[in-house]
Amino acid sequence: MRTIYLLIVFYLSAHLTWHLFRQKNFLSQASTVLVLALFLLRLFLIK
Amino acid sequence: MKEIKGNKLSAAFFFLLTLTVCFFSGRSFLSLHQPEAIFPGPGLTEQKMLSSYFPALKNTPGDTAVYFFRGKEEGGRVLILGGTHPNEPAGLVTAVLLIENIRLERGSLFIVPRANASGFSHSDPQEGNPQRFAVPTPSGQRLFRLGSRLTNPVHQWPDPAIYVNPAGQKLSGMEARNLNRCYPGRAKGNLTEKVAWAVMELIRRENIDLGIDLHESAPEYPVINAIVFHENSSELAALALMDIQAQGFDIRLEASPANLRGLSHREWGDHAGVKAILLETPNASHGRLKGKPSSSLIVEGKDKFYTRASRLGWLFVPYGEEGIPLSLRVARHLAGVEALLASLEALEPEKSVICGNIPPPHQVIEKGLGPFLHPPD
Repeated sequence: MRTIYLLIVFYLSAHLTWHLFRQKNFLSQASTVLVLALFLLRLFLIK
Repeated sequence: MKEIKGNKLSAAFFFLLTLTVCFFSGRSFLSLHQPEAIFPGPGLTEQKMLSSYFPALKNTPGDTAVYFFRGKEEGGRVLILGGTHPNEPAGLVTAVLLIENIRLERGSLFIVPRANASGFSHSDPQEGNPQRFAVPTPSGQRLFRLGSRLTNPVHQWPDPAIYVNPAGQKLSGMEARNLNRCYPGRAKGNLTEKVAWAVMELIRRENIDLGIDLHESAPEYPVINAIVFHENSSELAALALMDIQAQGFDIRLEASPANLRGLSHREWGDHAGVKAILLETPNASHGRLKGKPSSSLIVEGKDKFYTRASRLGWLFVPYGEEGIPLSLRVARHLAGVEALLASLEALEPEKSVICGNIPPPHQVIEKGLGPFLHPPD
């Protein structure tokens, strides 16, 4: 269960990072990293 | 509004910024996983882990320390649980105060200060609670963790839509992480159920006679300043009530409802046959009407919104401008523990537990908690 959970969070984190580098709007990049930070903290099982 | 253009460079900047924020916030969050030091007094006989009663708990975030005190003479066996709900600080601090001061003359006492250890490793989301609160001592401030009512979701995920607890009651999904809804536990259940199972194993293997679970409740919650008792403990609770009231504390009795399942005061009695008691004191810091959450709100207990609510008659306890400080709440718990031990001795002398050096409740109110706590490391 934990592995599946981590794979889901990893997929979403990778997708957000990919989206961040493709995004052409500065404010959209800023809002993307606000979400990405939460996913990274969960990916490493910190918060 | 004019669009601000972003490019690969700004994306890289944001990505690095995210990693930096994650590093520093992660370090702060991870520090919550380290329990603060407890300095047992010379009366301590042995310190074990809860996993010694249920090995499946070993090396999990649910494992927690059990402090064991044994008197010179055989007698009764009592279990005291603090930190079942880590956002109710009087339970933890009362347990710490006992561990650092008491000497047992007769019987045995088992104290678990952080019953839900995982709950201490995070805070309630969207509450803005401080990570720690500071109790002043003559040698400086002693810091304690303020945790969450529930097990850390990092340690137990996902919550079911509807949780059917081991006693068969249907509850909302998040209650799967509430230790005081998971009794009598499941040996192969989720982490919280395993902790509950381990507590039951402790009760069974150590032949506990009386279990006391230390809690706090919001001033607008009806079960407050109360002794909640299993029906097998009604006489004990009634005797203790008179003793506590004679000491000047306002307190009342609440019978454990037979159809409210999964709670310590119900399942300890039903499944292990021990006398089961839960003590409640009023705590503004986890109520819904409070102002800004802070360490001083927890320790001093002053809150103008609760004072106003009290004037409007919305509360179940009087809440004046002087507040309800942590020292008073801990003193109430200490008076409760003392009275319950005295009542056990009166009712069943062969099961008496005689405990010396309990910090006197009225001195705790007068002098504060500091003089009875070990200086900070």
